[in-house]
Amino acid sequence: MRRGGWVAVAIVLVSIAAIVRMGMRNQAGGSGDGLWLEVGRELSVVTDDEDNSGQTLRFVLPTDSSRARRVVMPAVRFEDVGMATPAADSGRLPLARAAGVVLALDSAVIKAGKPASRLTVVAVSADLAALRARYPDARRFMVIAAVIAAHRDSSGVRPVLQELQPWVLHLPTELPLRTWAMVKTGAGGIPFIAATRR
Amino acid sequence: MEAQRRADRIRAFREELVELERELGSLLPPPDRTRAEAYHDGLLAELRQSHDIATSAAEQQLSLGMRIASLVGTVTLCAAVVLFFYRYWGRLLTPAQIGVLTVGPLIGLGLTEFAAQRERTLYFAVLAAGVSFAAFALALTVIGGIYNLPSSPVAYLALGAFALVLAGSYGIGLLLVVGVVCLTIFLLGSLTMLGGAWWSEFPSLPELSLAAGLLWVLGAVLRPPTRPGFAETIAVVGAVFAALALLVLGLESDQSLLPLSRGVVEGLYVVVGIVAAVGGIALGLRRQWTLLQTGSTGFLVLLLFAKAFDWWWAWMPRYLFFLVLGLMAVVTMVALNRFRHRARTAR
Repeated sequence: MRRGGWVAVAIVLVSIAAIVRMGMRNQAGGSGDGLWLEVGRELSVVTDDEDNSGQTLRFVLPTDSSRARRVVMPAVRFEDVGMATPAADSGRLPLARAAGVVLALDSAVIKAGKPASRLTVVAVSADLAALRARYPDARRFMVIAAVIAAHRDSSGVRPVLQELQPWVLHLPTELPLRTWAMVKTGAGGIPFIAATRR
Repeated sequence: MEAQRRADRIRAFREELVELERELGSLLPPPDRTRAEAYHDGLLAELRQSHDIATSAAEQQLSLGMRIASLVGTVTLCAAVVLFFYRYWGRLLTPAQIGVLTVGPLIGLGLTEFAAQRERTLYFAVLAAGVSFAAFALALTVIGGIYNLPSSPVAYLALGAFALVLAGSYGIGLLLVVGVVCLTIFLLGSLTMLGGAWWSEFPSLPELSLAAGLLWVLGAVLRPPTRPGFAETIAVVGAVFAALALLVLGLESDQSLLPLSRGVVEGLYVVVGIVAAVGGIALGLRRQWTLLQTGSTGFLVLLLFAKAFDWWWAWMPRYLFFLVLGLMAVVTMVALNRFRHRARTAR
């Protein structure tokens, strides 16, 4: 094989090894406990369809009634998420940026016995580490990375949750799909499914 | 490429000689003619042996067909590899998934080398290299998904390096384009992150794309790669990035980082766009980069028409609007004609 071919082999091996190492290190450490979420309620299942035999679980968060179906979250100021507050007459909105969100099961929804997802955003901040320090109880809170964007609607401009990083969790083939899944946050702050139960 | 050009020149020379001799009578003394024909026959045989070139019009048409089939084959085989893996991966345990994903691109690399050693035209090598790239992209995406890793521009660095290494080693232009695009996305995403925004927001910062595109063009001019055609390809991809950015900035000044009024920013970028297009045409003419020259002309026309629509469509009577567009087209043709005359004089 010519030299470039060997370099390409090295790029493949090094890249894959780096990703696997990052993933394994994340899952090896982190919180001992996790948040038990109900499959079909807080986690929707995407499984074994015609084109994809893998199983993934997607976070389900309550959304508002607007057309864009934005995720409901506590009122946040732009500076809380590291964004400059846009001028009212400015056409340009601040760019989306990385932040952290705290997810927890909402006790009010649990008490009301509604069939909707109980998983709600309870806090948002640009400082992920500070959120982890403030919400250390992994059995009640999950602190994960997210992308916050500026959104303009009839009521003005406000920060909204654009996406969780990640929205979708891989369910390893080794774990059977059951009613409950425990989501842990790893050493790198990345959530993963650690266990399932009936 | 160079070998094919030489063969084309020989064929054109022979055809023109036949035409000339029909009009003017015999031009070459028979011994010289026989010597030239024998030399050309030998050279063509040698080129066919070493580069598998097409030496007739029919062969050239078939070569074009082979290239198209190779491109279509690459795309469809890539889709087949990706969909096949997704169809069955759920039945594999995690270590087996990672093993299969790692082996995929390596098999593709082995096939690329195997094909490159056995054929000089590289049609099958292109196909295998494309499949190898797709398998590598699939591996990065799926393994990232297995561990729920957040998306990152660094994946584009790995993909870009992989594509460029294969392009350089085997002379595959398609992978050169892919590599340049991937590296540009990595660069733009990383700079956007450094600025504090989420990396995938880079399309909202067209000035970064403009700078990156111009850097590629500059790099292709100042440090051109040795492989024939690669410098032009890099310049064209860079020019596409720059042109898209200039179109956005010329029409939608809200996207600009410049702290200037809307009208000033749009006017400024229209002027920059015109200068860049004229520069692209001149560079294309000077270096004989036909695609860059044609693309720059197309961009100039598109920019002017889009801007004209932006400025005048709402208030100008339609007949006048189209008259102005027609006049602009005439002015562009006159300017290009001038370029052509200048190029002819310089020759």
